[in-house]
This record gives sequence, structure tokens and C-alpha cells, in this order.
Amino acid sequence: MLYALCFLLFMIGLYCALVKKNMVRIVLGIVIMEYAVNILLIMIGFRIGGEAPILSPPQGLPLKTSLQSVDPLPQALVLTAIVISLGSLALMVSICIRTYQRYGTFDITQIRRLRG
Amino acid sequence: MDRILAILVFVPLAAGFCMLFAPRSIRTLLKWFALLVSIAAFISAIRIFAGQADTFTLVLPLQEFQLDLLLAVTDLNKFILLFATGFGLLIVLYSLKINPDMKHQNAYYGSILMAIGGSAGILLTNHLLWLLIFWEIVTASLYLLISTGGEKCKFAATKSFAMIGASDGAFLLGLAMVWTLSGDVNGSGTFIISELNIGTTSGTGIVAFLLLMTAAVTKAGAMPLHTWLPTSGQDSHASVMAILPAALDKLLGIYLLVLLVKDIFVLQAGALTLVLSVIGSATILVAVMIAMVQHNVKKLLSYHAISQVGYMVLGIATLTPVGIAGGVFHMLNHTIYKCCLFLCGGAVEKAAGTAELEEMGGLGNKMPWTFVACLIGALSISGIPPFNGFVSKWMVYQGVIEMGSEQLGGSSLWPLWLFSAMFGSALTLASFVKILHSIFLSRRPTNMESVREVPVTMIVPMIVLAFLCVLFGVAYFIPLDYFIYPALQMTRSGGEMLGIWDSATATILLIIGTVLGGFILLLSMRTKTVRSVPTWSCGEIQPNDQMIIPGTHFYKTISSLPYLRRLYHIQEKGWFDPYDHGGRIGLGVSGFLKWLHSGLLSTYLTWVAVGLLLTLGILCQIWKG
Amino acid sequence: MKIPLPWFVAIPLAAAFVLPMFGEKVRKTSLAIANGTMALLFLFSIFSLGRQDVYLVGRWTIPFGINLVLDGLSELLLLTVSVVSFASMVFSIRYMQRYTGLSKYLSLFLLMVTGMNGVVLSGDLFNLFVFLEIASIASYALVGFGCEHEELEASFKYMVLGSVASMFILFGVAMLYGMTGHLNMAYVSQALQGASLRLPVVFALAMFLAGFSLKAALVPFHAWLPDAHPAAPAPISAMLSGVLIKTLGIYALVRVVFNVFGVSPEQDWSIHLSWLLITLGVLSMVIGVFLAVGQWDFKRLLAYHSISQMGYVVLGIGIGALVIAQGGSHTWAALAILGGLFHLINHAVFKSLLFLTSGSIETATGSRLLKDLGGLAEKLPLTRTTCTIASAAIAGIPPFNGFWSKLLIVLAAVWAGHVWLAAVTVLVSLVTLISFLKVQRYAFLGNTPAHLDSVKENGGSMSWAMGFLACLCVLMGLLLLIPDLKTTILDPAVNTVLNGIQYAGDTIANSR
Repeated sequence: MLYALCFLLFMIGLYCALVKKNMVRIVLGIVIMEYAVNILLIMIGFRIGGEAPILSPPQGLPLKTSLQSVDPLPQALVLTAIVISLGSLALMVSICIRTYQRYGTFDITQIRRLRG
Repeated sequence: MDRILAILVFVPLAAGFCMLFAPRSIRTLLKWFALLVSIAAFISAIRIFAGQADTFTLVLPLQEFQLDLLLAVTDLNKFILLFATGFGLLIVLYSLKINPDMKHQNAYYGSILMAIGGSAGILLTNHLLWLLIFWEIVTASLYLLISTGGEKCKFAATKSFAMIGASDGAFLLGLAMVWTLSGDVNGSGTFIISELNIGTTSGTGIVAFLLLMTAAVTKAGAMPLHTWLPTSGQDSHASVMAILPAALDKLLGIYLLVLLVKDIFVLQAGALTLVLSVIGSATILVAVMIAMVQHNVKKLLSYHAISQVGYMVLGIATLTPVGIAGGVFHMLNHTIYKCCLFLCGGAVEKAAGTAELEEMGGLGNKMPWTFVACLIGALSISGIPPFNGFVSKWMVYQGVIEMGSEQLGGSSLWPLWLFSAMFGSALTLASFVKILHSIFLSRRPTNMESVREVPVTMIVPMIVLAFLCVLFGVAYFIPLDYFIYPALQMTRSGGEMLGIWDSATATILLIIGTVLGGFILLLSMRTKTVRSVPTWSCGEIQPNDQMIIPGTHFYKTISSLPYLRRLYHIQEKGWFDPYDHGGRIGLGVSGFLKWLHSGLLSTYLTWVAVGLLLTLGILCQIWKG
Repeated sequence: MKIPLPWFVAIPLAAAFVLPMFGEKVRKTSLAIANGTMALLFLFSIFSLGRQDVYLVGRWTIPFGINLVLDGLSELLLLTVSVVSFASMVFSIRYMQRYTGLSKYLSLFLLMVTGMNGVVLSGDLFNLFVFLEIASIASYALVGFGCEHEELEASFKYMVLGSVASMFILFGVAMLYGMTGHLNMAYVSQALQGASLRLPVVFALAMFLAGFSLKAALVPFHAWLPDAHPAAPAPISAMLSGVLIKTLGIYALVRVVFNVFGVSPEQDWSIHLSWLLITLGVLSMVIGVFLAVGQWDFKRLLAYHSISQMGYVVLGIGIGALVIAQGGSHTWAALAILGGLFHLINHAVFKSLLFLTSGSIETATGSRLLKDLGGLAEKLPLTRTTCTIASAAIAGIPPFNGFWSKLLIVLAAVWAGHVWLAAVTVLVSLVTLISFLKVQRYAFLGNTPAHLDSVKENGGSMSWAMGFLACLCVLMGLLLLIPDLKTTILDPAVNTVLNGIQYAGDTIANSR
């Protein structure tokens, strides 16, 4: 069910990128897709009633902690994914700005010199 | 195991390939080098012909296909090899003087050598895959050769390669099918020609035969994929046409057809021979009809090169011994006289500076050697006794009649095949009357006064070929006994083979008749003075040198007959040209797809989304099954 | 010599970060460093042939740590990447003279190589994604490098579609992690084999297929490629068409489909998956080639041919998968896969060569529209020769390399009982031939128009790079024909694909 909701959010992002004419909104659509995937990853690692996966000596043995805590790996993955998406977002936005300088518009339907 | 076979194949190939990349500074040396290599090739071909049946094996370790290079001499390929290398030598000789300033000399001589080596490879190899490889090398060298002709040959080169490339594709497909047909479910098939023996009763067998046959007849220039030949004939050098489309391509195409019919497949008379017969006779008749109305020497000759293939295909299609022998013999004869005719055409073009029939005339006394060679070639191609074309056509007719009498496949239609073959022969004569008249006989235009005979290196090849035409016609038993019958594992069975034709008596009679005619002519010139006066027309005197009867209008009446006119008209427009149709379809599909790629990002994203959902949908079919 | 696997990633990465420090002033030094790096990687990839190795990053054992895996398939791709990037880098020395921002260009180039090497070596799915993103982002930037109208437009479209593809892949990775609890390919694979078939797994498979197909530009996921590849500078086009779509697309697809999910008669999805691959391949082949034949822009024509040729690769692999899935003989499956993989490396060589020749023509004449060109055979003899060789190779004319791989695919298709597939292959090959005849006719044959009279060959490093690749085109047929080369270079890759899920066991065994 949760997967389905994430997929729904993912498809909303794709839909946004698909129907919006403004380049910036297309970028935002892609950002929504990225968030959908990040949320999915976080939810995969989530455990109801789990604790933060921090090991500190007074709280007990590592084995016991790992059974009670949420899965830390997806969080690391999400951090990495956010960094990557930051990079690609920055590039995308800068290309948007450059394109605006050249074409004088953000309307993607006007920017279609390449066809056929 | 004899290395000479490998040398004959790979030395010209390697030499030609290297010459393509030769630096400009040594271009003048190249033609002498090419002459040297082609002489060497011819000498080794003679040695192979005279020697024992040798084989050469180069073991290549690719277990899946047994891709060893197997070269073997058989009775069939050794005489074709002799002629193929001989033609190569003659053409190199002929080319020495024709284009001393040609920009693409390295490509020209390089591709001639590659064509020689490739043809030797095709003929000698006993391995179908290697045959395909050499086959495409010859195709590529034809492309390179035509493209040496400069601006106007661009289109011709492209079209030729595209059409022959299509048939090469059919070859590849047919080869793959032969490979699977020759193996069983678990074991791999074989490519070795002498081990193949595929029935044509199954659907796959028939399709494979048709595909390979397409490759063979397209290379030889038969219909329906023939249109590359006139296009390239019109634009490229006559020597290019003489070596590949007129000589080597015919030898190779018909060689492959003979292999298909005799070795690779087991052919029964039936639908397949019917297809071949239809191709053969349609090619004879239609091409010669088109040839008659042409105005360009080389284009006219190209249509005849198509038309004559019909005889070879028809002869082989009869499946009777005499028919096949006739087809193969006609292949040999055709290459000789057609090569000769193209060389004459090239000589005339070089001397007169044009290939259009309207602009020429009266070159007979200016270029006597060319005239004689061209006359002999024309009489041979028209099937006039005692020249060689007559003998082989005669054998093909006999084959057709025999097919009819033995009630073989397509038997009830045999009068049709016979009619088209004979009628085509008559029309061939008619169109060569036109050529001879237009070029050599009619009144000479004033701008042709300065025309001179071509250099001796060009005359020698023409005369050699013309001599062969006479030799193979008068002494037809020489080629038949030494080349054709051994190649087809037949024996000469006396007069039965050739009907009641006795060439020796006939030749003597013909010579006596000619001498008698000459005597009468001489006598009449002595006794009667001919008065030459200006022409009187409509009350005005016309100077004689303006009164030229151009041969180009000889058969205009045919092309203006009610139904034929329309056919000729749409033929000129290329309605029967598969290349044009294919191009139109391809560009239509391309245009539609380009229209779909509108440059809209949302369209592209829609395709992605649809693609994802379809992928998902297809994978979810797992639970259905 | 045993090259540590991280070097393949670390060396170009380090060079990529060092280069911008030099700035614009010292072009020669930065070019020397970049070329030296590529040459080094080329040597390393040759030395790494025939090795089976696993490197544990930080000595953490899998599945807890990250590992780099070198097997037959990786070696093949590693070699291909380094050959093509070496040639493109050499070509850049001369070609980039008219561009500013050289150090940025070189840095991005090296980052792209880093990403590709990483994708090829990565042993777990998430690192595959990370390296894929590194290569992709570098390529987005390089496509827009010229900063003109077309470049920016192409770059934006490429980036949007590429990001969607990355998200598909990350979604798939997340799903698989959720289902199996592993990211390491070997362990994911083992977990998948035991488990019963569940919707999320199939869902992940579909996501991977769509994502990697987008990266490989298979129809209908192809629309970015004809815009992006022509827009980039010529050496980058060569890299993009030559290796990027192969490592990020085909390699990743093959790795995930064959080694992680597995194709075998026991797997329920095998037949459907094979037919999907075959469909993608046939669609790409046919649609790509018909689009190509109508083009007048030389680079755009080449770009559409990349789609078409990727179709051949996927078709070959798909036929192999189908034979395996139907429980057929492994010999014939191996033949089909060999055809596909061999075509992959052949295409890498001749397509990058073609893009380099297009760059040479563009530098010499200032145009890449075929209608503006003509008669260049006399003016640019070397470009003409190399372009002709590459055209003959892509059109499948013997004895050049493209012929052999196409032959294998046709034979495999006929043997698998799908003659129509072989017929389509031959038809596409014919249309390819025709479109390259068109290139020859308009660019090289005939008389030179007046405005091209002063054109000269570029010479220098551009000639060397083109000559190197042209020699490879001529000689690569030997990879198939000489048994030693075949067993060291091609066979291990084929076996990796063929053995499928044995990958897991091998990797785990090698890690110990």
C-alpha cells in the first residue's frame, strides 16, 4: 500500500513534467519524483516503534539494538541520493537560465529547434 | 594443397586494397603495377587450368561454423577463372591509355585488382560463407569503380550498390537458411558447397532457393532488379562497364546459378523452374524492347547486357543437359562479345567525345579496327551464324524444345519461352543495325572530321575479343569440348546435341557468299559510274552534308504504337524501377517518423510513460499464464 | 601485473579534480595529464584481461561492505570504454583548439569516464546508480558545452529524460532492497532465486527495464538521443554514442536481467522478458534506421544509427535469452549473445570513428549538413578513407568487423527458428547501407563546390585518432577468427551472461 502511494506520488511528478510547459515546473516535477523515491526508501527502512539507530555503550549490545531500531542503510542511501539530486538540480536550473537567455522564454513548446 | 590458389585470390585482393590507399606521388606507377599483377593472375589461372584438380585449405579455428577457407579447383570453375582473369588483363591493358589524367587512378586500378581477386575467390571457394564475403568484395569494388567517374556517377554508384546490396542481403538470409537446413536439430549445419544437397520440397528450402537465386540473377543483371545496370551504363566509363557488369558479374552470377541448380539444391522441374523461365524470357524480351529505343550507346548496350542474361537463365531453367550447357556457353560467349562491344563503345566515346547516337556518324573509315570489332560483336550478340552467339542461342533453343518434348516442368508453356527467345534475338539484330548505322555508316557530321582511331593498347583487346567471337563460333567444338562439357560432367554426343548445324560447311558457304557479293559490288562499281548530285527538295537544293539519316529514329514507330507508347512512357519515368519505388516507400516511412519527432518534450515523456506501463503490463502477464 | 580495481575509478576521478586547478593558461599541461590518464587506463584495462576478481572496499566483507567486481563482461566493457575514450581524448587535442574552457571540458570528460568505469565494476545496485548518475550528469553538462541554442535545448531535453530514467532505476533499487534486504547484486540475486514471485519484484524489473532502456535509447525511450548526441562536441558525441549508452544502458540491463534476476527455464518471467528484449531490439532497429536514412545533418544521421545499432545488440541478447528460457541448447544461446556483445564492441569502435570523422569534416568545412558538402574525397583523403571504412563496417560489408557480428545475429535468429527476425535484420542492414551510401554520395563523391576549394585535412592528433580506430575496424574481425583473442576477450563475457545467476555464487566465493 505504502509502495503504491509512493508510486502514485512518483507518477504525479512524471505527470507534472509531462503536461507543464514551463521549464522550471518540469524541473519541479522531476524533483517531486526524486522525493517520491526518497520517501519510498525511508519507508522501507521504517519500523513501527523503532528507535534511532545510534549505538552508544550504555544502551546495550549492538545486536539487540539492531532488532529494535529502524534500518539505517536506507537513510544513508537517501542522503546520497539527495546529494546527487542536488547536483543534477543545480545543473538543470542553470541550463534553464542559460536557455532563457538564449530563447527569451521558459515555454518548452517554443523551444523546439531540434526535431525530425 | 597448392598455394597458387591462395596466391591467385589474395595477391590481387591485397594489392588492390593497398592501392586504394596509395599516396598521390606514385600514381603513375600504379597502372604498370596493376598490369603486372593482372598478368600474373592470368598466368596463374592458366597454370591452374592446365594443372591437376588442386585444393587449398586454410584452417581457421572457429568451431561453430567450420570457417576454414577451402579453395578447390573443379572443372566448372577453372575455365571461368581463366576467362575472368583474362578479361581483367584485357581491361587493364585497355585502360592504360584511356584516362591518363584521371583523378582517381588509385581507386580505379585498385578496385579492378580487387574485382579480379574477389572473382577468383568466388570461383575457387568451396565454402558458401567465404563465397558471400568475396561476393560482397566484388560488389564493393563495382561501387568504387563506378564512383571513379566523377560528378555524374554519384547517383549511378549509389544505386548500383544499393540494389546489389539488397540482393546480397537476400544472399545472407538464404545462406543462413541453407545452414540451418543442412544441419539437424542439435548439430550445426555446413557451409561446404560440395556437401550441400538441399531438397526444394519444403517451404524453407524453396524460400532459401529463391533468396539465393535473387542474389545470382541480380548480380548477372536479370529482371526485376536490373535497373542499376542501365543507370550505371549511361554514366560510367565504358571500361568499367566492360569489366564488371558485362564480364565478371555475368560470369559470377551465372556461376552461382549453376551451383545452386546443380550442387546446392536438388531441383525438380516445377514451380521453381517456371519462375526461372519467366524471369529468363521476360528479361530477354522486355530489355531488348527498351534497348531498341535508346539514344545513348552505353545505355543501349547495358539493356542488351540485361537482355542476354535472359538466355542464360532460360537455358539453365530448362534443366536439360543441352539447355544448361547452352546457358553456360552463352554466358561465356556473352562476356566475350559484350565486353568487346563495350570496349568499342568506349573507344568511340573517347574518339568522338560523345556517347549520343544522334551526334555521331560515318566513323567507319576513320576507325576501321573499331568498326570491324564492333561489327563482329554485333553480329555475335544478334545470333548470326557463324559467330559464337548463334551456337549458344541455338543450344538454348534446343534445350527449351527438349524441355517441352520431355514434358518437364513448365512444359506446356515452352512455345512461349521459345518465341520470346527467338523474337528477342531478332530485335537484338534490329537494334544493332541501328547502332552500326548511327555510329559507323551514316553521313559524317562536320565536327567528326578530326576523329582518329584509338591507340593500339585499346585496339588489341577489342581485336582479341572479336577474334574469340569468330573462333568460338566457327570452331564451337573447341570451347564445348575443353570448357563446357567437362565442367558439366557431360560428354559430347555427336550431332544430336546441336541439331543439324554444321558450322564448317556453313562458314565456307557464307564466305563464298560474301566474296561473291563483294565481287558483284566491285563489278558494278567498275561498270557503272555513279553520279552524285545535291538533294532536291521542295524546289530547293539542299547540300548533301546536311542530309543525315540518323539511326536513332529507326524504331520510333514501335515506341509510338498505341499501347506500347504508354508503356515506354511510364518506363522512362521509372515506374518499373524497384529502386525508385523502394526509395519512395522508405522516404515516406522516414517522413512519417520524422513528423512524429516533433521536438515536444511532453510527447517524448509520453512515450516513456507509455513504454513503462506497457513493459509493466507485459511482465504482469506472468500471472495470467 | 595485478591492477587494484579502485584505480579504474580513482585515477580519472583524481585527474578530474586536479585539472580545473590549472586554469586556462596551461592548456598543454592539462591536455598531457588528461591524455596520460587515458593512456594509463587503456594499459590497465589490457592488463586486467582474463582476470576474475573482487575488491572489497575498506575490507568490509559483503554484504556489509561495498565491493567492486571484475568478471568477463566487465573486462570487455572496461576495455571498450578505455579504447574509445583514449581515441576521443587524443582527437580532442586538436579538435578543442576552437573551444574555450578546456580544463572544464577535460574534467567533465574524465568524470564521465569515472562514472562509466564505476558502473562497469560496481558490485552493488546502489553504487551502480551513483556511478551512473556521475556519468550522466557529466554528459548532460558536456552536451550543453557549446552553450548555443541547440546545445542548450538538447541538454535540457536530455537531462529531463535522463533524470526520469535515473529515478526509474532508483525506484527499482529501492523496491528490490525492500523485497530482499540487500543491495549487493550477488545477495539480491540469491534472495530472488529462493523467493516466490511477488508483484514488487516484477515491478522493480519493469522499472529497471524502462530505466536502462532510456539510458540505452531503445525505442520508444529514444527521443533524447538524436538531439543530444549531435549537439555535443565531436569527441563527446563519439563517447556518448560509442560507450555511454552501452555502459549505462546495455551493460547495466544485461547485468541486472541476466545476473541479478536471472533468465532460465525455471524463472517465470524469462519468456516474457526475452520477448520484451526482442521487441525493443526490433523496434529500435527498424525505427532508428528509417529515421536515419531521411536525415541531412550528418551527426543526426549517425545518432539515429546508434539507436538502430543498439537494437541489433539487444536483439542478439534477446534471442539468446529466448533460447535459454525455452530450454534450448546453450551453444546457440551463446552464439546469439556472442553476436550481440561482439556487435556492441564493434559498434563502439565504428560509431565513435564515424563521429570523429564528422568532427573532422565539421572542423575542415564548417558545416555538417550533407547538402552543403561535396567532393571531399580529394580534399580530405584520410577522413574519406576512415569514414568509408567505418561506413562499410556499420553497413556490414565483409571483411570489416560489423559484418561478423551481424552474421552471427542472423545465423542465431535463423537457428532459433525466427526467420522473420533474420529478415528484419537484413533489411535494416540494407537501409543502413543505403544511408551511408547517401553520406558518401553527398559528402565525398563528385566535384568540389566552389566554397570548399580551400578545405584542408586537419591533421595532427585528429588524424592519429581516426587512423587508430580505422585500423581497429579492419582488424577486429580477427577477434572472432583468432581463437586466443576470442577466448580471452569475448568468451568470458559471453559466459558471464550465459551462466546468469551463477554470478552470485562466483562473486561470493571470490570475496572470501
